[in-house]
This record gives sequence, structure tokens and C-alpha cells, in this order.
Amino acid sequence: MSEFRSFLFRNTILPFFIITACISIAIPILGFIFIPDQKFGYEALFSPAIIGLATSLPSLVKYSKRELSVTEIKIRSIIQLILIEAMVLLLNYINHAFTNFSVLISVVITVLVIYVTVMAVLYLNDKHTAETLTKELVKMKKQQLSRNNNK
Amino acid sequence: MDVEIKTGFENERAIVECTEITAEIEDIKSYILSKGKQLTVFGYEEHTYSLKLDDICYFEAVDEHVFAYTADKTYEVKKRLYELENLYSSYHFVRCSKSVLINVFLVESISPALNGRFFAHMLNGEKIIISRQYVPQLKKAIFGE
Repeated sequence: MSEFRSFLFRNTILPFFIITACISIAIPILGFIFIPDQKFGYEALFSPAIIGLATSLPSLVKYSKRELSVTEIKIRSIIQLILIEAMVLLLNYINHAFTNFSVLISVVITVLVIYVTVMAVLYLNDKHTAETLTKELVKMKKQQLSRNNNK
Repeated sequence: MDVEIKTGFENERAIVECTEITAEIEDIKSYILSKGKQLTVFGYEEHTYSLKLDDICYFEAVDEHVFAYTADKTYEVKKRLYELENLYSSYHFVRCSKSVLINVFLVESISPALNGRFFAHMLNGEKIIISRQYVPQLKKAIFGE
């Protein structure tokens, strides 16, 4: 259970707060730029949390008690993306945001681009960590080898 | 550092003279200890063998059994994985997932796997997954923090 809790915190609760905070900042900025005269009721204040929850919950598909293979992770990542797309489309549909087909397509593409960008950034970060670890590993072995040669 | 080797003794013994115990001295100590360290393992039809720790690439727990993998052979070890971890953590064996303990000295390189995990490419050509939760332990072993 504690393993699930730690997964829940790292992959669902933490992203929920980050997404909610980002949307809370993005909405007023974009609103001031594109539709500065728009007025909202109090119910609008719930939208960042609702979007945050809807887009962070799909991360639960990546949970597993056993170690997942790379193929399984890839498949689950695709399922996560599909669920996020579905959640975003559903929320937009409920809010009557789809005035025409091009709006729907642009929402789908935007979600896809954000998801792929986040994955790419995480991968590049991991690649950098892996390279640093390999360099340090080689250094450690060289030190050991020189010690052996001195004996 | 001066190195002096004397022969003609009944038992092999290494004495390190130093001004103070540094990380390097600790490293030399663990290296010397690992050189003589042997592990009793079981092979085909329960035959017992003595393996040098240096030759073991990794230990893996499968169901209730623990196996030791060398470059080309597999042996069963009659110990639990956590016991091996406690016994051999000072001999460069690091836990990299719930069921695997790797010999850091036999890792050739590390590459990213997905989801914050990594692959340890072993010298025998095998790829071992390093779980996200055990990455800090591996970093500690490599960076010596």
C-alpha cells in the first residue's frame, strides 16, 4: 500500500497541483491578451482544479506492483495520452467550446504536443543523468585499475 | 603510496598503514576484502561451487529462490536477497530493483529506460533495469557520497 501511496503522490497528486497552478496562471494571462472583456462567475474558479484532476488521474494506468518492461511502459504511455485527450475533449464538450471541427483538431494537437514535449524533456534529463553516471563509473574503474597495477 | 609485499608467511594478510582513515583507504580495504571473498553456490544437480564475488554480475530473486549470474553461468544461492545486500554492499553490490542486486564494477554503461528508470548494460551483454526508487542508491555507490 505504501508503494501505491508513493506512486499516487509522485505521479498523480503532485502533477495535479502543478497542472492546477499552471492553468490558474495561464487562464488570466491568455484571457487578458485575447478576450480582456470576458467576465466569469465563481464557478469558473473550479475549472483549473477540474482540468488538473482530469489530466492527472490517467497517470494511474502506469502503476504496477511488478517492474514493467519498456514495451509495457510505451503501451501504457499511449493509453495515458488517449485518456488525457478524452478527458480534455470531454471537458471542452461540456463547456460547449467546440464551435467547429478545426477547434477540436487544434485541442487534440495541442495536448499531443504538450505530452510529447514533457516526455522528451524527461528523456533528455534521464539521458544526461545516464551519461554522467557512465562517466563516473569509467573513472571509478580506472582508479581501481591503476591501484591494481601499482600492486 | 609505498607498496611492500613480503613472502613466506603461512596465512595471507594485508596491513595498510595510514595517517588517517580516508575514503580511499576504505576503498582499498573493501577491494582487498573482495579479492579473497568467495561465495558458496549451487549448480546443476545441487553440486556446490565456490565463486569469487568479482565474477558475479548480479543476484536475482525469482519467487523463493535467489540466483547468482556470472558472465556465462547461473547458480543458486541459499540466501535471501536482503541478506546478500547486507553482506556484500561494501563489495560494490547495489540493489537496483526489488529483485536484483548488481555488481557495479561489472556495469559497462548506463542508459535511460522510460519512466525515470535506467538500464545497466553489464559486461556480459545483459541489460538490467534500474528502478526509479533505487537510482539514488546507485548514484551513492558510484559517486561515493
